[in-house]
Amino acid sequence: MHIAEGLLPLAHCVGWYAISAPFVIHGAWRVTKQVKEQPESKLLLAAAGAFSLVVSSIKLPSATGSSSHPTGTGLGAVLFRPPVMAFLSTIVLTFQALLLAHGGLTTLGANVFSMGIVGPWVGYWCWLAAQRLGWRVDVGVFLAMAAADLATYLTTSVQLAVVFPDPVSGLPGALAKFIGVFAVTQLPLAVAEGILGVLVFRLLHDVARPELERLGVLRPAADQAVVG
Amino acid sequence: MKRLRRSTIALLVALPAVVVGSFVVGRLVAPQSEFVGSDTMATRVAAESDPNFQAWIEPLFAPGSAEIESGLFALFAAVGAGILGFVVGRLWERRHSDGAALGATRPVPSESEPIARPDADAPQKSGLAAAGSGPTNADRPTAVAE
Repeated sequence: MHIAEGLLPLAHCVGWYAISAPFVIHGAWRVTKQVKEQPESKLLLAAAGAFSLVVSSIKLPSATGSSSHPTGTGLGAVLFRPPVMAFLSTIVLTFQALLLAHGGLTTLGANVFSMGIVGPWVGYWCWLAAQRLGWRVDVGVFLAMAAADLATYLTTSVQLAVVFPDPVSGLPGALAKFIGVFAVTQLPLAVAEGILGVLVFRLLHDVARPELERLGVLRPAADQAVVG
Repeated sequence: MKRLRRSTIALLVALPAVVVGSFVVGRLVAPQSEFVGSDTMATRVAAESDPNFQAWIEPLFAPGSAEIESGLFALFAAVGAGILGFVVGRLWERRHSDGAALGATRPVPSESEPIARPDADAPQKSGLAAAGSGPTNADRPTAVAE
């Protein structure tokens, strides 16, 4: 969910830019460092950004009778960790705001915060938790993708509820309304995104295992005990 | 062509099933629904909360019609898919040229075979037939054998 142009007051726009900017700058630095230290990871970086571009450009129908789009940021968070996704998401969101009127330039800070910062971090923590619990990699990827998606929309709900409190019930009522609109809509899409993430990760496992091992996402094959 | 794992096939079936199922349920829940985007829904909810609300700025560029908007979204998705396809192709080429350079002639075990803890010459399971393992570097938790 991208907050449309002009939906947030100017003060909120400036505030979200100020909050998101350090994350994006740090993300740009991490991307530069990543490319310098592991030039062979450029392709996977491109894949992470392209995946988010594809997925966030496809509107899918939801069980509530509306439609929405996934975010695709969980995969990049798993591969490269969340800071990189702050930068990549900014690029994706900027292009969408400029060329699609999807989101906005004034609301870019807010959209980056939800889709490029909160979403990837929540997804990454779910991935880490799954690994620490000894769950399958596929389960970790699924949870990372789905959780990143849902966290993005929950964050957007909060951002909008603060600006548009319910006339009767105030912020809690507005939050319930926006969550009811977005989160429920997003549930089946989060499941679909999780499944897609697992499929893409399996494909990357097939074609880019050495790169995934170098990134630390997969254990090197020499140390691996795998039960088929 | 490498045989796909059964679970991969199941996921390939499940993905469109979830999407189509969402559409079907949405039609049943709201028969008159036009599947309006959640961005538009947000604007409507905002207008309900604040009837005097007006956007204080317009987008620099807006598609002239819904058809043009759909086309542009499809174009973006196609560009992203093209990049993904290029990346996958390059990675596949790199992987196979590395294997050829090493003179890799190791037999690929079938999906059902467990792989013993290998030494340097042991066969390596590859591709979608491989069970993934978890991350392991200094900052990540220990991988899980599957």
